[in-house]
Amino acid sequence: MFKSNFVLLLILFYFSMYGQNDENYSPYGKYVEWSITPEATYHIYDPPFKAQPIMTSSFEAKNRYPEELMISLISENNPDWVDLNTADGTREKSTDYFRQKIQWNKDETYYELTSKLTLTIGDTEYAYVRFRFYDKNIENPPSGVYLLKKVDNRWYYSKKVLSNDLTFIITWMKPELLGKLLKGEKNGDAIFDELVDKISSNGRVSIKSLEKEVMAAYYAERTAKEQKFTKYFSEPLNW
Amino acid sequence: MRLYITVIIVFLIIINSQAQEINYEAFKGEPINVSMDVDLEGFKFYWLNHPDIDEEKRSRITTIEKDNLPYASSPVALLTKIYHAESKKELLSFVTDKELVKKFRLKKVNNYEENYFIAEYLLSVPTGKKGVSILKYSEFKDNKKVGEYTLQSISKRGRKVTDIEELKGIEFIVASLSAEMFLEFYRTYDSEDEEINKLRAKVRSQRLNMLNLTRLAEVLQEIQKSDKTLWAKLTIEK
Repeated sequence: MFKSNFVLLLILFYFSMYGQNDENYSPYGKYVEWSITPEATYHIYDPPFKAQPIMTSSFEAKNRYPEELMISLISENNPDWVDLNTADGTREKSTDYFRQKIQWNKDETYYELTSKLTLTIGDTEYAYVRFRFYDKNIENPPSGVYLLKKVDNRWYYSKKVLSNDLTFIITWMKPELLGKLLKGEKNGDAIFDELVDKISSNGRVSIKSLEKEVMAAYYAERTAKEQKFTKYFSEPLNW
Repeated sequence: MRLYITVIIVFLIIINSQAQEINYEAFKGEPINVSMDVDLEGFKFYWLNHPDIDEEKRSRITTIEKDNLPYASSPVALLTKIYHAESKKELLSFVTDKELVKKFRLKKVNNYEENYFIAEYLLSVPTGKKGVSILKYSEFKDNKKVGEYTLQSISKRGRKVTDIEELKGIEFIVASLSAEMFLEFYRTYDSEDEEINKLRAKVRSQRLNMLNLTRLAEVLQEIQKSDKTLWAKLTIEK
């Protein structure tokens, strides 16, 4: 029961991101796009970092780092704490959710962080944190990505969407391959090196080109018998 | 015995607190060199709602009285203050970089009725906490238009003239396009002009139905070099 609720939550989360595109439709457009070269870092947690529900109150949640926020997110046990962890909107949590959390044991239920992409856009720092969610009731831990945002030296879970495609790619792709792609490093495999050539120039990787190439290959293979690209690049999402 | 138990307890507390201590600095990650397209959230096409410009879509800068505020409160107020500045020292208080003062020459204007600036339109671009605005304005001498200029400004203890390299593309768009033509690209529905629609297809992202300013700047630069007729159509005020 819990597993199906969680999977449903993830699916709703995923599709709610896509649904937000509709907001951009207005006679004058809502936003415009602009190409930037943000300060960026990529990190693979080796070994993976366990964000466990070890905080007992929101007073402990300083949220000075993305990882500390992830611990705060898995530990939050009341609506005020949820608000304290959230920026750009609200996250509604039911009483059942908090009741369920009381049963969580830190060694059985936790986020296992696998990779992190940080981007500084203007004065604001963002972090995409990829994780697997572990729970004793879930046989195959599902993958997810949260976008976190730093405001006045404190990290928050952000409901903003920087890029749906990038969110999908971080969730879907093997973290070590994504890390090499973002660095523009080849690994000797033709399928990989061809992609590096397509997305980088003058030592800089275009995230837009990465999104375009990966999404095109992903959609082209969805109904194909042979899924060479998907098999090579993807990690099971377990959704 | 009691001392022994106390030592054990203290030892366990220390071990436990060390286990809880997480070295977050270790998760900093390696720098990567990337470019990306972002949405300029909160972007405003200002002439639609700027009180100084909205009424007749234009405003004579000189008709705005010089206020007593020690700082400029808006891009138009900034231009007014620069226009009314009486010394280099005063000018310096309205720029982020000394070099930018060279852009402005102190003018002695005798007849404000015939010599003035007109604010054409303003694009406001949020970059983190500091909003950067690009004002397009024309200069009139003896009631004749003698030039068009753009002014980048940023909120920094009052509004100040700035020069952000990354926004040069947007500045180029503002400097080149007429406001009406900018709207042709910005709005979500097609134009009646097929030539414009072909350009719209190049500069709008189809999936998100957004105007991509980077592509618009690139396309405009290409047109400026290769197609004088189209360039004139896009840039000359109707």
